[in-house]
Amino acid sequence: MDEADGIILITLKDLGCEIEENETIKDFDSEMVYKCILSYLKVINENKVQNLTSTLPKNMSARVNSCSLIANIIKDLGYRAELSYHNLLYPNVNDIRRIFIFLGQSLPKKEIETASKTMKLEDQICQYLQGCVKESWMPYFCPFSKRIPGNYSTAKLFTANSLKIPSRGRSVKTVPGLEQYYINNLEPLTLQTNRSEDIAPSVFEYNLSIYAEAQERENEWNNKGSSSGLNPIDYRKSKMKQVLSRMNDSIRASNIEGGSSASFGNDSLQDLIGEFRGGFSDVGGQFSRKKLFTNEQIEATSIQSSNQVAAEVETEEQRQMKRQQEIDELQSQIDQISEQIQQYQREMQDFVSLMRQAESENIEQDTQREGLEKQYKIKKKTFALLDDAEGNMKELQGLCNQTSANLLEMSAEWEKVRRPIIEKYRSLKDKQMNQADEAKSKLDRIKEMRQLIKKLVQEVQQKEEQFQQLQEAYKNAPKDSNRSIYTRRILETVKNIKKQKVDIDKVLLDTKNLQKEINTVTDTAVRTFELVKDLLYNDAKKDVTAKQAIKSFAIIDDKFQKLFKTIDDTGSFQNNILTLHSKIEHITQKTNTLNSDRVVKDLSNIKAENQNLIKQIRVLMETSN
Amino acid sequence: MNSLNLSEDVLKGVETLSDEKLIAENVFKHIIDCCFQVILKRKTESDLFENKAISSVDTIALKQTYSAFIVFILETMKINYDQASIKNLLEEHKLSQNRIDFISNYFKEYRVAIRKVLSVTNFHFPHIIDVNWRLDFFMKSNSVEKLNQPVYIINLTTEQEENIKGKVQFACTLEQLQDLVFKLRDAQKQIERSSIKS
Repeated sequence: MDEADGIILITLKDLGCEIEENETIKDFDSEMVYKCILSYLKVINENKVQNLTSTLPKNMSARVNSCSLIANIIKDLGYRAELSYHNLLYPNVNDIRRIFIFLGQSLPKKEIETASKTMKLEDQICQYLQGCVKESWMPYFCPFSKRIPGNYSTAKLFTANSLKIPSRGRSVKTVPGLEQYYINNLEPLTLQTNRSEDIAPSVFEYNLSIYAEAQERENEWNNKGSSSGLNPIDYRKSKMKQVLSRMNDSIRASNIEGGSSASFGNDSLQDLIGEFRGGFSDVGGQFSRKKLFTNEQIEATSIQSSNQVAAEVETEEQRQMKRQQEIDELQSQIDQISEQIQQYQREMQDFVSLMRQAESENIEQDTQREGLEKQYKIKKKTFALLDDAEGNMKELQGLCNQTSANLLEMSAEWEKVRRPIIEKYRSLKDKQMNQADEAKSKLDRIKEMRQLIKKLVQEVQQKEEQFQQLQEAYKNAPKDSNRSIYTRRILETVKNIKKQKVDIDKVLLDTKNLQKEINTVTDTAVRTFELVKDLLYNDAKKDVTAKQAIKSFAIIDDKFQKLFKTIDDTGSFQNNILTLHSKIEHITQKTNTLNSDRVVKDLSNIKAENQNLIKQIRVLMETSN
Repeated sequence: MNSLNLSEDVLKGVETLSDEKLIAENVFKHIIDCCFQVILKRKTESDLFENKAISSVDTIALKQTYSAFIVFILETMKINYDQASIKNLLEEHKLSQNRIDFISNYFKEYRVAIRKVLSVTNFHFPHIIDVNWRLDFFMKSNSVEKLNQPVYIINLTTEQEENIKGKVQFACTLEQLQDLVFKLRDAQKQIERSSIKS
């Protein structure tokens, strides 16, 4: 019983009852019992005990009321044994233990934790609100840092920047310059934000966005990707292509809508990217430009040198004049020539167009000529045939027949060739269908396997958690030889039981023997009685004293019968006495805690209270009158 | 309940931290120390990156581990991840036992302080810090000879963050103002009531 008490005490402590270290259930008074039961009921059903006070009220009638209420609630929960308010007001160890055990069984197991957690949250909310209410108002010009920390008035708004975490992955090798950027230019994470307060929000934003993207991708892969028959990397590539082409389309469409006024009319996105890429790898271009520039310089210097030779012969002005004239003449010549050239060009164009027209006409006439030639040939033949119309008709018919026969033959042959080909085609088609079906079924199986894998992973995780929990429980459990003690105890009890069984067997044997003896004795008694009776009756016919003997014998017999009965009665009475004794013991155990003195005291209390109440009523009546 | 969601590259960074060849013991200690101190603004990033002992380490790896561990600290402290779970998580990502102990000591020491720093960031409405009001009285208009209606013009000065002030201006009739005042009073009472109930 002590161990059961221990368990009950532990649960009570978990429920939040204040129990002293050495206190046991035997020491509980009614106040304590009330508190404990209330804490149990709070966890089991909060609503039902809302009206009850947390401690036992001092007023006697209120005590009775609340106790009977609790008793009813416990009965509603399914408590079978007898229970009413006096069991709670005048507690008795056995009853209370039974009630506690019952309540402990009806505790919802997980709710203990969750209830305490929700309680904590409510407490937190209350605390926060209390803090808010108590907070004194501060004018805004007070220093910001001295206002209460954690209060909203000191808060910064949630604003996020984009972040970048560098890593040595595949992209470092494929993208040129990325490594340099990472090493030289990219700031560490905490300096990437504009304000130091933005670090945390930006970090949350960054982390969650990447996490969500990964999840989204996996979802899509599970839903659509796995059935497409590609591996994940190919799937991603194809998706990239799709997105790119869609972007191209939309850009092109918007360009067309916007008209040709846009500076880059039909550049696709890829062209743009290409241009951009070309921009920073254009080393050769620069070089060639430089080369061109130097060539120009060389030409310029040669012209300068020729001018210097002319200057030695003529004076400055004459030279100027001459040159002007020359330039004018040359200019006019150039103008003329260019005009001529333009004229020629125009003419050329005209001629070219004319030539084209002529060519097209030529082609048309050619085609016409061919048609006409054919017609002419046919007509010529028909005219030639007209001379011998009938014969030719027959010949024609023969020809027709022959060709039709030929046709039939050909078709038969074609049929011969066609059939195996078609059969081959059909079989191939069937094969393909089969393969497609197989692929489908395999895909289905793959999907199932995936689900199975997921399930298994989950199970494994659950099992691991369970294992850890169990291990913790095992760690927490007292290890020192508990088991051996229990086994020893069990063995002892088994031994005891065996001993008792042997004893019982012995007693049973004794009683059986006794019964047998009793039976034999009664049998012999009956037989001897009959014998004596017969003998006496036989003698009675002759003797007078024998008659008397018969009479006394009958009396003796009667007396013996009575004796037997009384012996039986004493046996049964003794049994009764024993059972009554045990009952008395039981009842005394039950009622030993029922302190009659206390009951009498409570009764007198109630009487005094009642008289008080009557007095009050009288006073009220008088005042109202 | 809250669960820790760390993205792939953060986890990769944490795993890089476990690489004992790449990141030697003293460098590791320096990185962890700097992460915590930078979040609490007791040191700056230059203390980490201009240290001589660290110049031998690959800069990318240094930046990666530093950034990842900053994310790790902030995310775990956001949901107040307990000590044992942090240890488990680090163990999963191959950190050695004495490194885990080193990290968890820091967590023990700075848990409260970091959560205080995080609590400064918030989604909140602007805080009212000052009120000015003016009572106007409309006497008449072009259509009505005698109007005689009071109108309150109210100017609220608000503070979104430190030293960032905003203004809210509105006009209302007497009834509207009364309604506002009653509602405010009601809200205040409600808060008082729910703070007592426990």
